[in-house]
Amino acid sequence: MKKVLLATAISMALASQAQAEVRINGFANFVGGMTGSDESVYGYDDGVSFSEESLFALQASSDINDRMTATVQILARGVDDYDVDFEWAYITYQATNNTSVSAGRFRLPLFRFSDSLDVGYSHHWVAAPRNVYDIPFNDLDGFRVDYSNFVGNWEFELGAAYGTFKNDVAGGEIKGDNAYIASAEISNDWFSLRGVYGGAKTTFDQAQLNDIIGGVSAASPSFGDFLAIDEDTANYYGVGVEIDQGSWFIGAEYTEIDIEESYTPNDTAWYVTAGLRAGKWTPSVTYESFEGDEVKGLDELAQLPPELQAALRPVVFGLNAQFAESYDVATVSLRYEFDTNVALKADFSRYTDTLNNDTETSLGRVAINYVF
Amino acid sequence: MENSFKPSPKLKVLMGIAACLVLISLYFFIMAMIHSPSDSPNSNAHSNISSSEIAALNAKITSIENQRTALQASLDEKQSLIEELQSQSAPAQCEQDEQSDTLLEEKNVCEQRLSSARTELSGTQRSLQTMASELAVLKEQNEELAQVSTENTREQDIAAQESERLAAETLALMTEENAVLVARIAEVEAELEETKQNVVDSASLNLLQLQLTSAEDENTRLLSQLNELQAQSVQQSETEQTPSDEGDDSVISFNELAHTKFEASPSLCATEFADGRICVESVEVELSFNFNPNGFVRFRLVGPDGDTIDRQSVAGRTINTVSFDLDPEDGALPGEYTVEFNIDDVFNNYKASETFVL
Repeated sequence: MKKVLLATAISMALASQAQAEVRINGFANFVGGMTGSDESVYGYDDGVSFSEESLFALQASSDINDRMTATVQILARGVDDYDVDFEWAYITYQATNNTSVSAGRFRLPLFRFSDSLDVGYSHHWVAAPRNVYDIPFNDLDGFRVDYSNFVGNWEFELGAAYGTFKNDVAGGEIKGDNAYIASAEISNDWFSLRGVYGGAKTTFDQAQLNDIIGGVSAASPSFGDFLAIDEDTANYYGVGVEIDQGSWFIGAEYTEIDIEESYTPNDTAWYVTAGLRAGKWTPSVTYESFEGDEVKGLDELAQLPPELQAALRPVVFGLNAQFAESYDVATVSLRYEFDTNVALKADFSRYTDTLNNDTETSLGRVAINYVF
Repeated sequence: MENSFKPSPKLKVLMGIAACLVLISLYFFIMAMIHSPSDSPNSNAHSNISSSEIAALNAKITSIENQRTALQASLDEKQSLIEELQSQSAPAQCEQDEQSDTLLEEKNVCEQRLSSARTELSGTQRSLQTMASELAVLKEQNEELAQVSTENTREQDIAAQESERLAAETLALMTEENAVLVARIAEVEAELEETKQNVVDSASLNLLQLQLTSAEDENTRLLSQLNELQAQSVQQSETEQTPSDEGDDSVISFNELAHTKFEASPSLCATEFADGRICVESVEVELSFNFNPNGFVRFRLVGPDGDTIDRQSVAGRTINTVSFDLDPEDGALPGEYTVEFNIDDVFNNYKASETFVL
């Protein structure tokens, strides 16, 4: 029923295009999982849940003319009670044979699997490594330029994007202005290497935090301004590499996010994954690590009068602790090609919270991925 | 009475003539034996007609020889009888006989017998002369025939030699002409093979072009049908739409991904290469899909030897045009070229290839 509604919505969205052919694609991830203890990992606990990472989506694309295409992706996530959201909506213009320009809402080209992050069928995991891919600004409203060409046997792709982003996270809203991303990737038939750099003026608005920071500002406006995430410069760095020989593959990504003047720690994340392709079976292992437990503001706090330092120190630690995370995850996955465009997956992860005495939690997940 | 026989002068003349005849007969007999047809070295060379004639003459000569032998025997017998009679009529015996009538009668009888013997001898001599004449004529004919036969044989030999000479000359000439013809045939066969190859190549190319044309026609037909079906679908959906939707002609497609058109157009240049390479400046490729690809379409041009010649990346459209640049100075290998194209998009993941021939 929801698919019918989505199709209707897409048709309505593209209704102004006369004489155009609309191509419909869709995908679905049905994921269930549970932890082996009462610890929560990725929203799962010791009870089976099918809503944390399940989603259904439809994507429609249509030619406006021989150089312009309109694309809409509507996505309903289980975690949002399957409320429909326009994840993507953009128009692409083929400026030259090698250059395309897109305008609208689109996925930021931050990672190797950015464009297919939500399409579980396109990768070997049940879900892409959360430590790297779970960031609050995956989509951008603005425009994007992509260029692709070959030098010998090497293909290089350059991308640039500019715009704004806004997303609900942690009970608040994160917003980025003047966001920009530049990416470059070189690849041949079996090897690829990519790097990305981006920045934005970031604002995080959450009532509870706003009250706390407002109190700090009352005591020390400069320190309050330092802690507040209000159009502060955020930087993003990323490097990815992959060797894919068909029967086996190995890949890795490293990312770093930092909002310099804020209470949020500098987040460093990386993963390494390797797998074999044996007919319909793809077993793989992945190891990922996230480190974001740096306490910011201590140097600035030290510059305050001692009585303020003593009063604000618990606040600073409290704010940092709110966002501090540090953990490692080792995962064993198995993918099986059940049918055309249908994959069955299962994985088992060992989650180690290095911030809290190396607390370990097991997580098991199964998934059905479908794309059409 | 004398018993001795004393020949009269007449008898002596007769005996002389008989002796001469005997000598002549012997001479002809010897000559005939010398020139007997069986002794002729060319007898076997005669033609069948001449040989039969000669055989007939020889048989006739043999018959005459036999008759002559028989006459000679008769002559000898008569001669013996004459000698006996002469001996009986010796003067001594005659003188004694004259003394009695018996002896006279015997004398008369002897004379009659002698006369009769002379008559027979005379007849025999005439017959012998006649036969000798016939024999001479026959021998003369035989010689003429033999001469004719020899001449014929010589002429035949000359003709045969001439024929052999002519045949040898003709054979030599024909051999020479044959050698020339064999060489020419070899050249023609080589040209024929080359022509056949060209014809085969041309035929293959024509066949490929025909197949391509047929495929394009089929493609056009299928597209036409598809458009018709889509138009029917639109009409059907229009009938189900509310009036506010009447202006919308959109078509929702769930078709299998496919490329609907592939066309490769090489731009040739004038440079000629000794090793058969072709001067090509570029190859324009037009590729159409039945969908709009997200992202880029990657093209790879692969030569007949499997080497990658060029790669291109094109921002994906429904109709894509890409140009592969080739080095005109290097030349392009003749043969089948492959254009591989793929779209690395999660929804429109597509990989296929097409070929064209230079």
